[in-house]
Amino acid sequence: MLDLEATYKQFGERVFNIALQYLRNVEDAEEVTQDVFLTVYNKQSQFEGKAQLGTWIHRIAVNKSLDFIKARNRQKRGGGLLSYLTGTTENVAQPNNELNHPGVALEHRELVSKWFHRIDQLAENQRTAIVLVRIEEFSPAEAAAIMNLSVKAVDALLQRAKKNLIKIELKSEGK
Amino acid sequence: MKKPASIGPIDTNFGSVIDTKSMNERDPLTPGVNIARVSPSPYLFTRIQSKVDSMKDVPQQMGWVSWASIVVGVVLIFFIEVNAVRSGFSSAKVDITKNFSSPTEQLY
Repeated sequence: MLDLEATYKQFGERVFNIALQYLRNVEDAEEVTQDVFLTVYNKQSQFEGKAQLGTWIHRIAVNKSLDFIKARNRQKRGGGLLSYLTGTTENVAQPNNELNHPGVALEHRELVSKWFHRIDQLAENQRTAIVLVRIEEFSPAEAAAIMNLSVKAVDALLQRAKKNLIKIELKSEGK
Repeated sequence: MKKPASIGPIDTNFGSVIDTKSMNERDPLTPGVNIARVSPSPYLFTRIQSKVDSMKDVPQQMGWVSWASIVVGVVLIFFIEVNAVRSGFSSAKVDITKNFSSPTEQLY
């Protein structure tokens, strides 16, 4: 039987920060963290012990964060359609696009917000590689284990992400 | 006499990080400034624990409800079946006598 409190103490902050890098909103990140630990508690019997416990929990955190974004986007599309059909803007769930990231200093908000906006235009796995390796500072081997890929594949994802980010930047500058 | 060198305009943004590097110069995989680690709310684990506790309660309640519904269901089905079998037999009797009586009547 998993000691939930000890597990939370060990991995809670990391899980919260992973979710925060994806969602950039404290409330949403806390919701995802809660969901991650409820899943860990409910599916502890499914943990086969092939991977490390941390790797398994961090993988759940990545998947839950991506699911949360997808749900938010669906809500956005649904809300847009609803407001179009009814001609109202009331009771429509608005996505949280504002950067509510306490880890970013106020004077850097604009710069980081733009960077995150560029990151959002990348493919899901490239974004995950950046979040894990560059922001959360997992080693490529740890990130590869979380993403269920080889270290080479993670390196390739980062290289592709770098090229794409330069293209996005040049495009936004109109060059 | 040599003129003293101009001090120039005072930098009012002293201390802040200004990102003047172009995309090719700096690493595009990082924002260029530090993103600090953040601690979640100290009440977050309490919330998770209370959710887990409420989930623990649900199966026990559900267990009691499901057992009761199974018992009621079995008793109900038993009575319905007994009733159906009884009425089924009686109707079958009628059919059997009818079917057997008519051909014999025709023979004679």
